[in-house]
Amino acid sequence: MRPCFSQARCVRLALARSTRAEGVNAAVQWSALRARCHQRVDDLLQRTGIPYPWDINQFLDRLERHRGRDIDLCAISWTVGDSCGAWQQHDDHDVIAYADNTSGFHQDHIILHEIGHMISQHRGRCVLSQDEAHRIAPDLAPAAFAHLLERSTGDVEEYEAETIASLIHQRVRVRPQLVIDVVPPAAAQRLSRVEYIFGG
Amino acid sequence: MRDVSVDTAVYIRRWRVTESDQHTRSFADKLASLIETVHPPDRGPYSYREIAAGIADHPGAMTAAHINQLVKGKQPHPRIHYVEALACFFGVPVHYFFDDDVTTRIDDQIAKVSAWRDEEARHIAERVVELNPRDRNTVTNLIDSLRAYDEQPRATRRRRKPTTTDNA
Repeated sequence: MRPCFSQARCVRLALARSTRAEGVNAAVQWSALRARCHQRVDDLLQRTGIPYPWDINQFLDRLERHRGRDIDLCAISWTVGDSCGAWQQHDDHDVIAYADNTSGFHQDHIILHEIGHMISQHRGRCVLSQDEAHRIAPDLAPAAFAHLLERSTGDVEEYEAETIASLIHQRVRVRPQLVIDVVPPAAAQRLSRVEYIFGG
Repeated sequence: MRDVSVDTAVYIRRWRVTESDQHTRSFADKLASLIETVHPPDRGPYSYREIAAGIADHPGAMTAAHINQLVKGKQPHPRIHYVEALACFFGVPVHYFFDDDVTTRIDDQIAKVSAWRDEEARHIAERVVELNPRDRNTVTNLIDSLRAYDEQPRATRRRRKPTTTDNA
């Protein structure tokens, strides 16, 4: 099944959709994509676990240790038409920008989405501010920027990142017992008995 | 010549005049140049079929075979709505095809954007909420915020979310 967000895309991407249908290698295997995302999330969470109770800051601390690279969170104020999250790679650390004028749950989701890009080793794309765009190429229309700056794999990468964010968020809510991994076995046994009696 | 505005008629006249001048670039040459240079960084030029699909909703829609003929110079004087469709697809002014000065200027701008794109440090992955194409590549607020954040010394800047009761 195709992700619903691609419906809202621009003319050029609608074109990409039609070429995808006719290209031999271009067809996106959505089930394979989902399987790939599941695998990445499994691999990641096996190393980091999930903080219980859930805390994005603690999760980032664990992720930093796992990757051996610092991750800094930069709060931005989202405005209509702008992106509400971004991941920028620096030489020795990563910066994740997230909109802080939205719900806490949504903020976490934005951050997890960027982590999705990160663990999938997506390359990202070049973006310009409107001033920069106007300075460099005052006569080019948005369509030209779309052709020159967008990666053709862009919507697949967005979908992967979004899937990974959702998968991690799902585990947060339905599987807090993963925390048992870091609890001594005896205590874990008692805990699971308590959960059995009172409900997990 | 129905449906052609005065402005475009002027362009057509001027174009036909310059067409006879052997020093100017032909329509076919300019179109080939656009196809060669304007495409995403991780793939090659668009095929004629892709371009045809991209202008399918435009009044100047045409077949891939027709685009092929234009590129090969077999139809050196395409009708204006075809020219407009191609200009629209590539995001360049219609004058690109008629005025050599504009062609030079636009080619230069395309080269500059490509060079800018290839500066690795500018690449970011984004979570995009609004999928309006006009805004997708020009994200002023985001870039300004990131730049301001980068300017803060790493030791003193806030690296984590402030803890709030709103937390999920």
